[in-house]
Amino acid sequence: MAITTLSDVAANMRPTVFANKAGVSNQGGTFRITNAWYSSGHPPAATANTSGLAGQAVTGNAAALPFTNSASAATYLVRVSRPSALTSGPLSGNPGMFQIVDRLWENSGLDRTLTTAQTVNSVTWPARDNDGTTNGEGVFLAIEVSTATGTGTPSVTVSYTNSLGTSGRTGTSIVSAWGSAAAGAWVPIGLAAGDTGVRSVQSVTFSATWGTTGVLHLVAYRPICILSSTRTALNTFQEDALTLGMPRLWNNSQLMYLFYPSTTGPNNSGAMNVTYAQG
Amino acid sequence: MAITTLDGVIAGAEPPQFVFKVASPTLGQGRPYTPFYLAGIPGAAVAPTPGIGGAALTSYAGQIAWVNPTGASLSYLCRFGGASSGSGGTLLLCDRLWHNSGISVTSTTAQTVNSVTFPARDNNGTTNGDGVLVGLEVSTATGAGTPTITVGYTNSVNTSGRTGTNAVASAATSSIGSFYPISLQADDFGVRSIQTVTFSATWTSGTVHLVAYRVLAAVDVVNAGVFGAVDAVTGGFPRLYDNTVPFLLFVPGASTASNIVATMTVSQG
Repeated sequence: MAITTLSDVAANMRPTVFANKAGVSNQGGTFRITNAWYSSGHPPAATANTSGLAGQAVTGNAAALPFTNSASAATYLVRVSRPSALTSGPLSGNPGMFQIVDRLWENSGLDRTLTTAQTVNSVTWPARDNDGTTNGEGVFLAIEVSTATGTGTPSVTVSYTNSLGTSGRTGTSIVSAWGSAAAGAWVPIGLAAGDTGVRSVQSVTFSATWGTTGVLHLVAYRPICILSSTRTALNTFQEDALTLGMPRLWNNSQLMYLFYPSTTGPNNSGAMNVTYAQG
Repeated sequence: MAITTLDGVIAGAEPPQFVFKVASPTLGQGRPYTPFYLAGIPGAAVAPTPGIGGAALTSYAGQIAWVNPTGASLSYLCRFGGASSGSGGTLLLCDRLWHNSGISVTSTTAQTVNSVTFPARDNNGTTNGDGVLVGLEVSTATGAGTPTITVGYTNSVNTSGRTGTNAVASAATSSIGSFYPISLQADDFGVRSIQTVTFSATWTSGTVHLVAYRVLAAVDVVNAGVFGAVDAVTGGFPRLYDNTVPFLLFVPGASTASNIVATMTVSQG
């Protein structure tokens, strides 16, 4: 089945999911991205995984936005809304933008002090790439912090197999890692020219140590949508099925949201409402 | 087939394509720039080397990902949005039709281009060039000099001997990714082919390319880090043709080095 009309969207909307997560402390720079995965609130904070370097597929984590599978219907994200940030109070934070992503895979055991290649050899992703397969079309990688790091600003290089099955591809960090990165800090990794996604990861290399403390993870994720968030007044930002482009979600989607701050200052409190349609 | 209803837009929406590029060099306020040669998502493009007659493009490593529709389906832009970390400005989604190499940046005489035929992706899906523009793109930073760039071309109604110059003044030491749109002559609506390019003065060093492109959508980035977007209706639902080679241009409101983030969704049916 699939939803092919606006009437279908209206007829098959599921109850709105309301989320509200604590913000992340000031990370000191524009586009120093953080996520709410380890933040308290609803849904609850995640416990850092201990799956090992090969990692695990993410399918049923309580920290993800609530999601109900369907055996026969297709699921779409048809509405996203959130209030703007204020300068103080429960909704205080920076202006910037939010990105909802599906968290496909995560690992643990990275050595933040090692500057040689660390073997990952990731397990197979869940079938949730752009096409609902394990090929990795539209799937990207990021380094995530679950325990705050020390000083150090390494670049990160990943060796991976692309979505066409070509191995030996390399990507490097798009934004520089930053010192004293808080839990939830997120450093996205780029692709080799011509690639459109990652199927698996073979190794990761830090150019320098990332301090004497901190716990890091490599995460595979699929971007779903981006939403703006300013701090000028108590406005609500909304996107609907049409303005979102009707993104398809696959069973066991593990949605979480990233925040891209546009200025320095405390990162946003994470109020977010999403609505799915299944039909 | 064609998409003629909002239901068709809904039914034909494809997965979004995500763009996130490393920080640019220091920009020029009001001077267009492309992150085409920067690392990130997608990966960095390599400077083209097809020669001065150029190459018609159906794909190019470093472009935003594109998948042709199946069967008789057509493609349209369903959603386009983006942000810049360093400043507000205007973000353009463009189709890269043709580019060349081998231009001398030190010559001040007319250089023969005689471009090969552009692909059939003008506003009407033909090779006539309606809505096709030309820019001069920098892939290796230039040296000293601020030449006026004059392009001799044939317009979309096949009138030869037309000329246009750079709409934005060139800058000495133009950084990689600098992009100088070439104006059209009065009453022209596009470029069918390019015959010559002339610099009024030497640019001392560097590598530049002529690029033929069609603007698909434009979004206002009202401030640094603020996401702006258009959808199927507000974007005017532009038609995209098979083998589109999407890439970005950014016109910054300030010179601050910037990461570019963008997302493109296509509807096919």
